[in-house]
Amino acid sequence: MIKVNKGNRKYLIGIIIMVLIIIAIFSIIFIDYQNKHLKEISRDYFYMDTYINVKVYSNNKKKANKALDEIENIYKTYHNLTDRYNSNELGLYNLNHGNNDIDDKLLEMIKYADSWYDKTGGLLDITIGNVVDVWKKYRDLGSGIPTSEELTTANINHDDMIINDKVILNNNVSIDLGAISKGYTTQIVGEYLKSVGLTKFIINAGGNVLVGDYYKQSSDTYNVGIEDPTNNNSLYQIVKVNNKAIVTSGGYQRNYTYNGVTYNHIINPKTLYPANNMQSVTVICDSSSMADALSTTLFLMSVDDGLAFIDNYDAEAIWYLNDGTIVKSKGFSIYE
Amino acid sequence: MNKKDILLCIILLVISLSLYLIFNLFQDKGNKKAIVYYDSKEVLSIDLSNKEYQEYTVKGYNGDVRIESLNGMVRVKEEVSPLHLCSRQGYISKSYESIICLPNKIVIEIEGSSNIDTIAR
Repeated sequence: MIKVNKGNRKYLIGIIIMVLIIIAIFSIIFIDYQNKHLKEISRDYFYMDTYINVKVYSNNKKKANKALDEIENIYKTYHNLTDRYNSNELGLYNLNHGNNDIDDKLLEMIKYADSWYDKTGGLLDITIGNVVDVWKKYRDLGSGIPTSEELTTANINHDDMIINDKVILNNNVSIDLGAISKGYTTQIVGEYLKSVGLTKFIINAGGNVLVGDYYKQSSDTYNVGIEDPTNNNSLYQIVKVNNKAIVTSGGYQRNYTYNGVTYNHIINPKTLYPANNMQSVTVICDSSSMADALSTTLFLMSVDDGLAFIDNYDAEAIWYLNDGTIVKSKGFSIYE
Repeated sequence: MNKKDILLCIILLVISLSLYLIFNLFQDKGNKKAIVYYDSKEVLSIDLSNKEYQEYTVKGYNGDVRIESLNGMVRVKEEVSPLHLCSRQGYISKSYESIICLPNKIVIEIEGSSNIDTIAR
């Protein structure tokens, strides 16, 4: 033990306080620096016929990479389960070809998608598969359009799909989950990231966006650009969001022109023809699955019907009409 | 504490603050670059501040992908794919733009300061 006299003790206390203050200052600086400079860990995936990018912001690179591995599994699993053109065990292809034994995850997705049928007055109809295929045949050819007879023959009554603890398809119904699968799977990925404590992320699944908390430690928000449907090198709107899904439905990415008329890939189950009320519509809401369902529905509706419809939901929308007019839902301005 | 201690305190404070400022100044403020990724891995970085014509070839999933840069813009010149969507897209130059060649698992992004975090389409 070192003997200290009164004067020295005072001096010692002074030094200790000083050291503590310095440690505190350095800690604050260090934490602040770390928060402002979280590492961006990014990965690309190629599933569901699209390019998917997930960015996670964290100081724990190992944890983030592990999560990104798991996300690969999620997209791969749902890709296989919802693929209509390749045989897959417990998946949609086999279901559409008479095998009722499907994975619970697929059953859940079908139930969710079909829950929109009544809510949308039959506009979101997953039993449209055969009609989609008829149009796909002509789109792949790049010319011609189906006769109305071809379309009505392919069209199956929605009631021919029976869902309980199984899905039973009568009269060769073919389910198509294209309206929902990307948004639904992205929602699962977002929930997974939050469940493992990685709350700061940007998921972009072929233009379907889901963002988490902002990656910088401030009250700021992400800036998400919405692409101009008539010019893919420019943006027509920027929205400021955190913890939101932004999903666009538009006919401008997958289409073909025949006799001067452009036919896109989103088929109205009422008319059996591609919808052409607008160039595109983008929905912002909390859930990516809901955003996907709503954007498809709005794309099939007239703008006026859509404005009334979206009012029933905790969601906002922006329309890009055929003549270039921009229409926004009532509360859209909170994101501007 | 005497005057010397207070002086020491102030000096340490100044050092801390300057360290903080240096940390912040060391952010990327580099030139505009185009980064080419193959299956998530960076395979090429193109300095777009160099306005001269430059040509590069990277390996894609289906074969060689030829990339050109000129006047701060970058494009895919030639690639092996069924629809040639990425070579048909033409030049990109803004930091939120990207070229995605799905069949070749090639992504070209422009790095630089941008206030856009991602694009919905």
